[in-house]
Amino acid sequence: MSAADGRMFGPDMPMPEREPLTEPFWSAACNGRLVIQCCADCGAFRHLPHVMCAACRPSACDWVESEGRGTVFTYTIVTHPVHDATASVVPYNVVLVQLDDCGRVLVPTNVVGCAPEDVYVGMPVRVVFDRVSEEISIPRFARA
Amino acid sequence: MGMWPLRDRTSIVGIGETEYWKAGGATRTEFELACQAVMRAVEDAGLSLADVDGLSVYSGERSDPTDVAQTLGLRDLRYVSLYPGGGNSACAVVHHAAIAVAAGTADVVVCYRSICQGQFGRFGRARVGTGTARAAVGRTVGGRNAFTMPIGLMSAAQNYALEARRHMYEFGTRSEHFGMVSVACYANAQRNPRAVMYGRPLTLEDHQRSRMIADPYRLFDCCQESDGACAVVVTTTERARDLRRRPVLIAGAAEGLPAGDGGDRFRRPLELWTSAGLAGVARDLYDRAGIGPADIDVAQIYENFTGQVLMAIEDFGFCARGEGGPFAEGGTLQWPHGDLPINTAGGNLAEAYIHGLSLVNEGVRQLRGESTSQVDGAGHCLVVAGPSAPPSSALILRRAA
Repeated sequence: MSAADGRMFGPDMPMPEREPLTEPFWSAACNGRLVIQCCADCGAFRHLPHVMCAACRPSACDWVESEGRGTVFTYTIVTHPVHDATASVVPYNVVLVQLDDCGRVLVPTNVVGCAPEDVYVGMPVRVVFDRVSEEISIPRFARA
Repeated sequence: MGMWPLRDRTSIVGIGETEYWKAGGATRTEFELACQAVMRAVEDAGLSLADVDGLSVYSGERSDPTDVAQTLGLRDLRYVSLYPGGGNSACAVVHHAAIAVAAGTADVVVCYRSICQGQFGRFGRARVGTGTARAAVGRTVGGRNAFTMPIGLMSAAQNYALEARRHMYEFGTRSEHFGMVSVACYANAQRNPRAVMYGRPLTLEDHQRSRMIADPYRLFDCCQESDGACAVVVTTTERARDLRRRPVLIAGAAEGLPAGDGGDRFRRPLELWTSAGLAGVARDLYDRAGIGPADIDVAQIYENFTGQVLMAIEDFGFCARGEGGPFAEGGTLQWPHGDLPINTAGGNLAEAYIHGLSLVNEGVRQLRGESTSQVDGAGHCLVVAGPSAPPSSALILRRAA
């Protein structure tokens, strides 16, 4: 999958900061892997990243690779831009993807290569990676 | 648990507000408006500023209580409370005021909210942080924003649209159902000269023709961006009996955060994606007030967005879960003939967006018999703050005997 396949926005879009808590996520994404936090004790997945498992409290955490397949749980089509970087991009979609292999985890993301009117709840999707900089790849999704 | 010890023991005795404007229209600073609203509410109560010894405000309130107290020359303050969040706080600040006066910690507590989006930035633009800490989005974003801003999820409308779409998918709710909330609010605003949308009627066709903002939400599904301030005075019902206005009893007050919900909304239990997250608050509130949904004569339900109003109506038991759309059909939400007239001053959609405190003021007016869309013989008014914006809150106000 080339970077262009996952491209969604222009270069002025805000960029994620790599921070200690999220470093494994962004590091894996740069290598074309989608990883999700998983409690080493109870096996519960969690996303967005959090510092501990809410059930087990302080506990070891694994970053488990997802196969990156899932379905659209819900979506919106943004037609009114609220940031300069999206003004030339609207209409665009924002979706929550429920991964097939990570419990009830929802991933906020976009579906690329798809007209806004073609996005629907239940749509099967697979992960692609949008290399927005040397340090950052953003997991987005394409129709499966 | 026994009976809630605060039932009817505290009252709202005064309300005040400034003129309301579309964002950018205010002729004075946000801080001056805060002071004006407080003064008007205290005057309405027949009290003097020297009687005020407590302030209860939203954590995002820019008109800091210490500055308001100093500027207005208040006496020694004995109680100051900040409730976390924004529009979710509208009833919680009253709840905290009631707790304080019932406990004897303070005698007279004023809740206020001032908000001039024309002076401090509009909520409908991308931003990071909340309240006084809100700021423009930088070139890079950290924390949770690292997962939302770079995918273009940047505004409240977009976030709440995700819930509305899921509600449509699960229950067959339609855009027209959302529009029925707007139509009810706008109709009420046509009778309320304070309303920013006074003289601007809205039909369901107008709603359906309005431009899409974040599908499924159209322009008229979104609350306004406004300038203005309002305030509410709370004291004990015992003291209230001696004051100028007939007291409006705080029959019940409740607030809460559903288990598993929090700042990371993506992690909450899946069923909360189609709910206002207020089921627990509703249960506590009815229990505390000693009444049920059938006893509610009129409701003020915070419209961040119209779909969340329908979800709140479900959470508060006016219809079954998922039935909010069909419930709104046939004019149910419209004054004067609907079974559940809502937002009788026009609400956040059509009166003004003062982060919901204006809805408390309107609830008080209903029970004083002073609304411009007065429900005949209204005895109980439900006020709901910030649906799907936990920790949220609600009140049941009762007409004094």
